[in-house]
Amino acid sequence: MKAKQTNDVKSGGNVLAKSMIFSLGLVLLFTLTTNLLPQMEGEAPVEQEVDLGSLTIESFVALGESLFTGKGTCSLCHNDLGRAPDILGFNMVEIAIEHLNDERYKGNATDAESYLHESLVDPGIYVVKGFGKKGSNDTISPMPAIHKPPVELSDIEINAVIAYLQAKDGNDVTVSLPAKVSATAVPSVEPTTPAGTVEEIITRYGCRACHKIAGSGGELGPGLEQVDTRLSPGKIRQSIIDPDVEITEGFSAGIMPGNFAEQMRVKELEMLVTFLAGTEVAGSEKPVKTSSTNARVTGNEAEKAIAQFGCQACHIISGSGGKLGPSLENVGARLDVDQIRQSIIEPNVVITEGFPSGVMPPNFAEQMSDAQLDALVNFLAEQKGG
Amino acid sequence: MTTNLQIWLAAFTIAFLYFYGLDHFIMSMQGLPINMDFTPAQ
Amino acid sequence: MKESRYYSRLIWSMLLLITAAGFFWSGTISITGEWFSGAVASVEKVSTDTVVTEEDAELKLVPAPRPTRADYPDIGVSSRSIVWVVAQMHLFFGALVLAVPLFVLVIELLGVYTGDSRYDDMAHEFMKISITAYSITALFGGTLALALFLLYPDLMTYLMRVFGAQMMVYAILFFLESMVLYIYYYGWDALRYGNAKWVHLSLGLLLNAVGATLMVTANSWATFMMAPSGVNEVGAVIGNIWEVMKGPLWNPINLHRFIANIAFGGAVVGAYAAYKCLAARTAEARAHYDWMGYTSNFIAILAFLPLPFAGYWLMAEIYAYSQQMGITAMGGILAWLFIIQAVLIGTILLAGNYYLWSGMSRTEGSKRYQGFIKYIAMVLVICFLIWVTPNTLILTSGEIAALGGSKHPLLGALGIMPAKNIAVNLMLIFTFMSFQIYRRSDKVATVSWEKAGNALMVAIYVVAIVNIIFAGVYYGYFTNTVYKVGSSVMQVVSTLTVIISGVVLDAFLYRGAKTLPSHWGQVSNRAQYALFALPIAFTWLMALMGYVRSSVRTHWHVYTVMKDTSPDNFIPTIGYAGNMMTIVTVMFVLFVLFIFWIANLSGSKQLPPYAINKVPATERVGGAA
Repeated sequence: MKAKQTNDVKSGGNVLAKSMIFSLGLVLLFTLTTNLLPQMEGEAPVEQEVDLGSLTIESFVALGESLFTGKGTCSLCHNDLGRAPDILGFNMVEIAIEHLNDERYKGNATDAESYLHESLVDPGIYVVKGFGKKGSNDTISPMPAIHKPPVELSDIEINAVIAYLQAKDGNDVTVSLPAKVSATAVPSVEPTTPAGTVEEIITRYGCRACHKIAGSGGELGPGLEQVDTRLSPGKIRQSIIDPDVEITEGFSAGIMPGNFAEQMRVKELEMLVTFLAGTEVAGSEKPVKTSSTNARVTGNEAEKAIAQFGCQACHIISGSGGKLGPSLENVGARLDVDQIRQSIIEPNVVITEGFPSGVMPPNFAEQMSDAQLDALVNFLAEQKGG
Repeated sequence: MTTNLQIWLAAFTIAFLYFYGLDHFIMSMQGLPINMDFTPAQ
Repeated sequence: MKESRYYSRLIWSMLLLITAAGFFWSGTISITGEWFSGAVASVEKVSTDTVVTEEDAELKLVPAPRPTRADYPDIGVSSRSIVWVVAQMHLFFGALVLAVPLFVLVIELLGVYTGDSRYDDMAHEFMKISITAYSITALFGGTLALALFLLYPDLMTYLMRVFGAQMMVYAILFFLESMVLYIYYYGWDALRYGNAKWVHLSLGLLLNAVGATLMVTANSWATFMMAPSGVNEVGAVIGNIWEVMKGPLWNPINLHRFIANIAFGGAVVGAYAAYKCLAARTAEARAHYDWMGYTSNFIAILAFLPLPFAGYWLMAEIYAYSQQMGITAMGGILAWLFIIQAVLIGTILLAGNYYLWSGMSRTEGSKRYQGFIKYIAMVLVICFLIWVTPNTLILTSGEIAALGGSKHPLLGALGIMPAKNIAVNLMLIFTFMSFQIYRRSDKVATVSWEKAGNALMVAIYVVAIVNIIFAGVYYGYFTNTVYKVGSSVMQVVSTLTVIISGVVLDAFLYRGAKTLPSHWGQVSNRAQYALFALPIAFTWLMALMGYVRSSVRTHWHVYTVMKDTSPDNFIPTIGYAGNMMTIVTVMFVLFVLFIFWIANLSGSKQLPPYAINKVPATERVGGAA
């Protein structure tokens, strides 16, 4: 490879082709590297709409946990890598009391809850030793105020995070569940007009998720087809408003949400009580007409099924629903088609972390037609988030 | 005259002192002590 | 060819000077900026005093728009990918047209000092490339502006409101740049000798000054979007234009892009020379283009070595601005991109080293150092592997599955990477060692303190390497994060110490040294392919890091001030991003080939019909291959 080559007359095209092939090969190598790494998308946080009606302490805590790792981006720094105090490794209520008694503490908080709230919205009030901004001698916190951009948690969400921080180590949750009044902070998904028919009421509040009514529904709660033979209208009303006062034999307390009364309008409650008190064995009278409130009127088979079986009583689907079960908004990203199908047919085989087993009725498969099941599975498999 | 060994010793001493000083300077600039005794600094 | 070595040394020192000037300039730019903003502020003051009342001024506090998804025009194709491609092409060519005049000025100056017209001709040839590249830059710039106004109207309305008159200044500068560029290029032969040449050189300086100002102006838009300043919490403008421009990330980006442009330009010109060298038909041409390729590679690698430190500064400023943003980049979903970065930088360093080692066949004195090469290669490969592997090993399949489901995946141990810091710094040190050995290979020192100088150099290498490993292992693994970050500064400064002391020591050690003969053109063809690998890797790397820089904003157009609610407000998968980078790189390569072709075409002359029979066919179409 010495002077000999230089005398060769080489065709420019040959060199061009060779250098192009070389360059292209290199580029493809880089492309290959990127395609070999785990492929994941970073979703922008979706404006989660909290269904205030169906909130329980458990679901509120679960919301807090999902905010901690998700929208709140807390775990980005608060982990065991030493960037920020390892919140998951501490009992935060004890830590809060400890910090309140520290002479460096200059804030106005009086108890753990108010301390946690304060440290979320104004992190600079008390900076844990060693975690301040570099050069500030622990007087300035590197943490952003959580209710401001870029994180922007709402008041309800901040309370949910506090609830989670309290609950994760077995401490009492002292934050109060958001009342309906504060719904201005979070755009409510509740329809503003009262439901017109009993069927709409039943669909809207997802009664069929647990109760068999007029031929269809779950078996988690007692069937209500002949409830009038068991209970007086007054007892029925009480069972809706205060479900745990009297429990039908063979069923357990604490499963039915205790706040339906807050959600329902008086008219709706009365219509429902009247209906249940006077209902007959309506086996043939199939509730086909689905309401136009919760499910969008698309004629979509899946959405009909969701409304019919009251999935949204416990699951968030298409932006609305309860928190008793895991949100299904991005279930398509978590589970494949077969897993989704299994979770409907045999809900207790695989349980999403953080949720109890045995809550979802195991008999949906018997109630649904194959077409409905297929439509539902396909619909859910497409739910991959925002 | 200086021997080879002396030259090497001198060179390494200079380099070592320089870097030792540098490390101290840089760490102190950031307000961090430098623990040469290998005690984990927290 | 003995002089050429002397001149490349001259180029070296000039480039060092330019880089130093870049540092200095980005430091002092605030002073001139203050003056500028003062002027602008006073102008604004006059207008508000005379025309606008106090109440109107209050009303001017308009927050940033909050578009909903429906406000984004949907043209059926992903808006982001269109803007992505066009912006990246604009940036590639922008970088090229800013970098080329910089070497051209240096080479032209060399021509004046040496009186050798070959330099002048080479500089003129490079400008020819730059002229076409300039038009393409402008075309892509126009397309980009159009695409942005069409696809992101709310964002652009907001940015126009924030930057206002500054965008007009930019437009004026653009005209100025064009005028100076055309005068500089077309006036080349008219202003070639005597005092006129100095006028021409001053034009070249002016060209570079205007170009640099253009760049920092455009940079301020990008850094404003990352770390807005001069606006309040909701994005209403409360500061003057200078406060808006001088955000926390502006100067780090200015410096980083300035240095990277030099490396990028050097690499592209190096590929041009490599191609010419491979296609050369005479030994003379081959020797010339071998030398040109060597010089370009020299420029590229030399500018590349300080780049990680500029990047380090940028990253440190990002952490200081928002720890969350920093961790999103280095420890969050984008952390994987730094693995690819490692692959690319590894490619660049290995290719650069390989080229240097191959080039040692040119000199007879290189045999003395031949034995070191295999050890250097070994260290480089080991460090490269350390840099790339640990992260892929950390994840089990279960973890990957878990990551796939959560919205904010955390790649825990990736946040701070002590082992990688060691590997990267060692790679830089050993690359510099290759460099230094190459520089020494054709010389024999004659100074009396040669032995002591060498001993000191060796000692600096050894202690620096030990120090880097110590800092990485001890502070990286046994202490907390603050120490890890703190000790990485120690490593960086150790590396810089080696580079600076190596350059300085050799400059004195080889003063009046005896030079051994060397032969340009006597180099393997394979070495020329290393010169192709460099610009490809550089281009791809620019696309990659630009993507990271832009993506740390996550779902914000303007971080914390204006949300991105478009359908594309998510971070795409790495594979998707990689495909986009490949598309832009291939497009860039094709456009560059077009430019080279145009440059050759303008040098070709069709002979008049009556002369055809008298000239051999091979010479009929132009001299340049």
